[in-house]
This record gives sequence, C-alpha cells and structure tokens, in this order.
Amino acid sequence: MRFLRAITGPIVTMLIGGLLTVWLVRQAPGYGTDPAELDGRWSAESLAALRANHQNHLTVWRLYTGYLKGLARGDLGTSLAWNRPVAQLLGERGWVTLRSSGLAVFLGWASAVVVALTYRFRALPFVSGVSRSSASALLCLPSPAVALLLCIVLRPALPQLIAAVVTGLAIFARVLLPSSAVLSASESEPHVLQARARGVHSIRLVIWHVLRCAAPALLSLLAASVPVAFGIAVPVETVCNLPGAGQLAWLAAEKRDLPVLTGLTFALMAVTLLSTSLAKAWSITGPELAEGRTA
Amino acid sequence: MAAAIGLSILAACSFAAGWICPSGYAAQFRDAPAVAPCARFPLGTDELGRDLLARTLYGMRLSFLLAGSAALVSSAIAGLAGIAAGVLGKVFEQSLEACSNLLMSLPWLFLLLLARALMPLGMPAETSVLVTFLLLALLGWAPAARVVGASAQSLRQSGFTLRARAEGAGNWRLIWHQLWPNLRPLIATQFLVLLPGFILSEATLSFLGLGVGEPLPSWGGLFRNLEDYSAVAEQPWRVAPLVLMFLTVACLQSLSSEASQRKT
Repeated sequence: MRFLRAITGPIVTMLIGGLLTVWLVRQAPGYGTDPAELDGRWSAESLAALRANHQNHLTVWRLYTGYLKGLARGDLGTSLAWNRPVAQLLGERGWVTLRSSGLAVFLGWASAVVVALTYRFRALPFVSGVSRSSASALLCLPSPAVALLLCIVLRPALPQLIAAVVTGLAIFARVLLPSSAVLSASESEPHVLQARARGVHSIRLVIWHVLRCAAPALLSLLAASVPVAFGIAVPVETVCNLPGAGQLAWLAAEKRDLPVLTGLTFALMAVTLLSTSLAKAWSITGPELAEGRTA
Repeated sequence: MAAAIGLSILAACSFAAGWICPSGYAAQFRDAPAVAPCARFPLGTDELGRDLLARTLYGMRLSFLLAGSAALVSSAIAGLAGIAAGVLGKVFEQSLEACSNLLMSLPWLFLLLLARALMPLGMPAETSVLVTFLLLALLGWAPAARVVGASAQSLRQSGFTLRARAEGAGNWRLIWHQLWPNLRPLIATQFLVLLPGFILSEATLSFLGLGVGEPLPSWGGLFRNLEDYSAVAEQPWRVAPLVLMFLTVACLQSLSSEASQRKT
C-alpha cells in the first residue's frame, strides 16, 4: 500500500500541477494573441484563421488533454520566441545544465560529507570552524552575487567552470550541516559505540559502521540537492551567459514564451518529484534494510 | 546578542534613510555621474548620478518591509494551515500535504519566475513591489506549514490536550488555550527562518529584472552595477550594497538559528 502511494502520489501531484500550469498560462494576459493581429494588411478572414489557430476557443481541460496527448508523443509544442520545437530546445539546453551542474552537485555533496566526516572523527576544530563559517557565509549571499564575484575574479572566460563552482559551493553550504547532524546521529548508534569500545580502527569504523548506517540519509541529501541546483542554475547561467536550461527559463519568462515555460515546468516537476521520491524511498528503505541485515 | 545589535543598527539606518540622505533615492546629480566616494557621496554615485548610499539605504528599507511583510503573511498562512491540519483531522492533514507537495514540486526560484512571467511584465514600480511581496507570501509558506503541522499533530497526542478533550473542550478552545501558546514560539521561529530566504529571493528576482522595478531601489537592482566586471575592479565601492546585504542576512540567519536552538 505504501509502495503504491509512493508511486501514485508524485504522478497525481504532477498531473494536478500540470493542470494548474495550463490554467495559469490560459489566464495569462496576452495568451493567444499574435503581433500579426495589429498588422493592418491582414484581411478579416486571415485574422480569423490566425485566431482559430491559437486555440483561444478551447477550454482549459481540452487544452490540457491536448497537451498531454502531445507529451505522450514527445511533442511539447513550438516555442514562440525561438520558433523551434520546445522538446528540442529543452534537450539541447538541458544537456548544458546537466554537464555544468551534474558533476558540481555530486562534488559539492561529496566534499560536504568528507569535510563533515573529517571534523567529526579526527577532532579538527580548525577545519570545523573554517568549513562551518564558510558554509554559513555562502548561505548569506544570493547565488548570482557569488557568480558575479567569481566572474570579477576569474573574468567571464570560463562560464561553465564558474557555473559549476557556484553550484558546487551552494550545494556544499546546504549539505554540510545536515550531513554533520546525520553523521553525529549514526556515531551514537549502539553498534558504533560497541565497535569503538572494541578498538576497531577509525577508517574501518567510519566505512563499515558509520557510513553504512548514515548512507540512506546522506543519499537523500544528494537527491534533495538536484532541484536546488536548478534553482541556482537560473540566475547563475544568466550571469555567466551560459546557454543552459536555467538561462532558457529566464529568457522564456522575459519573452513570455508560454509553451517553453509549460514544457520546463513539466520537466522540472518530473525531476523534482523523482528526486524527492528517491530521497523518501532511501530514507524509508535504508533503515528497514539495515534492520533486516542485523536481524 | 551581537546579531540583534547589528541588525538593529542596520534597520535603524535604513529607516532613517530620509534623514541621512535627504535628497532621496531618485535624485540625479547630473554633474556627478559615477564619482568615487567623497564627503558629499559616501558610497559614490552610479552612471546616472544617483547617490549610491541613498539607494542602498532605501533599498534596504524596502527589502526589510517587503520581505518582513511577506514572511509575516507566510508564517500566518503556515500557522493557520498547520494548526488546521493538526487539529481538524485527516482530510485537512492530507489537503495540507497535497498543497505543500504541489508548491514544493518545483524549485523555489523557478516557481517565482513562472508565477511572475504569467503576470503583466511592464507594470509600474509600485505595483511590481506589491506583486513581488504577494508572490513571496503566497508561494513560500509550504515548508513552514509542514513544520507547524507536524508539531500540532504531536501536540494533539500529548497528555494535556487529551485531558482537555476529556474535560469537554471543543476544537476552538483546544486551539486557543492549548495549541496556540505552545505553537507561537515555533511560528515566530518560522518567521525568522523565512525572512532571510525571502530577502535573498527578492534580490535574485530583482536582479533578473522580474522583481522590484526601477526607479525604486532594491538590492537585486543594485547588484546589476556589478555586471560590468572591469568597472568593479576600478570602482570597488560598487560592492558596498552586497556587503550590507551579507551583514543583514548573516545577522538574520544567526538570530533564526539561535531561535531554533532555543526551541529544541
């Protein structure tokens, strides 16, 4: 039952979210209008044909079902600003974002876990102080400001590197304290205390006892970082002039390109719900698996 | 304590902006475009000859008022939704979960960007302030509501609540006398947690040109002065608004983490 709810919940959320998006898009001022309508050279029949083409007469429900049918065929409509298929635009730009942010998310998360492990188990107050203060300082600045500062220092010659560094730093700052709390909790588990009392070597203790126990929660933190990374990608790619999905979102918002915004909303909802479902699944199945193993 | 003092000084400066810079944020000194800091203009001026200190202080005031009001409304919505979910049973609890899932199914900044893009873009500056405030307030309550809802649910199972129910207390009495006094510090903490996030979001949105519109000053708008990288190296004082924002958010973060620790 819980498994079924875990699967259907995100799908239902996505369908309702999609319906709301289509409704909002339909209500947006300027929806379905064409600049050609202001051109006096068009005849009344041509203008009527143009308006009919814009599907203004369709209800939200008909629009939504039409959109879902198109989605099933991989057709997300055509961009108004770029005059290209939305799916093609998302594919091209999504790949750029994935390349610049994907590795950065993993490195930011991994470095936060390693730093947290280091200062928890090697008792290094200096490392702890510096890493915690730098994480707190990073959380006090908006990501475009960090990107601008890096651009000033490095010059905007390496936009992909700057975007990756900003994303990595932001993820590091967001993951450091929670991962430290997770490690602290698993450190006080009875089997870890027993292993410590038996004199197990610290590296073996960390790998076989602490990390094994904390892995589901740490993986949940990694999954939860994916949507955060896209939120960072929007202003950072805009600052760095990187042609990724984040910059596409900003340009589409500025140009009111509603098909692109709808397509991006669906794509992002899918990514966010998938990553949050994974995070939930790891946090549920992790302890159950651990219990099963010990039993 | 240091954070509270620092924040009080910053807030006092921003609210005394009219007294510190009597010429206002929009006055243009055409004889002094892009001047370096001097006695007349302590933070210099921008390309249009506007006093950067005045714009920074007025921008800070706007940010405090905008993010503060939005966080207040958001925490009120979160409090109401959380208490309703905690007290009124399964249907409200599931509705809250569905609503918060829906709001949290998109990255926060993209959600703001999407909602802002579906409204008229070329709007007067005053309207843009109102729209930014409403978007932050209406879209940002979900995480706080989850925290309040979880706490309200655990309070519903607590001994004193069960005893009050056994003595015949109705839902309103239960909320007013048992839950509200216990949840009030948590809702106040949620306000402090939301506030720095809203300040940063407003700055990012305004930086992207979808927040507070010109000629009103905002931190995001002031950051656009940093886009000219070569000019920043020659005029490092352009970074001053960023430093002030950093100090403000750092003080707020410190206060919110202190409040969270006190709560736990």
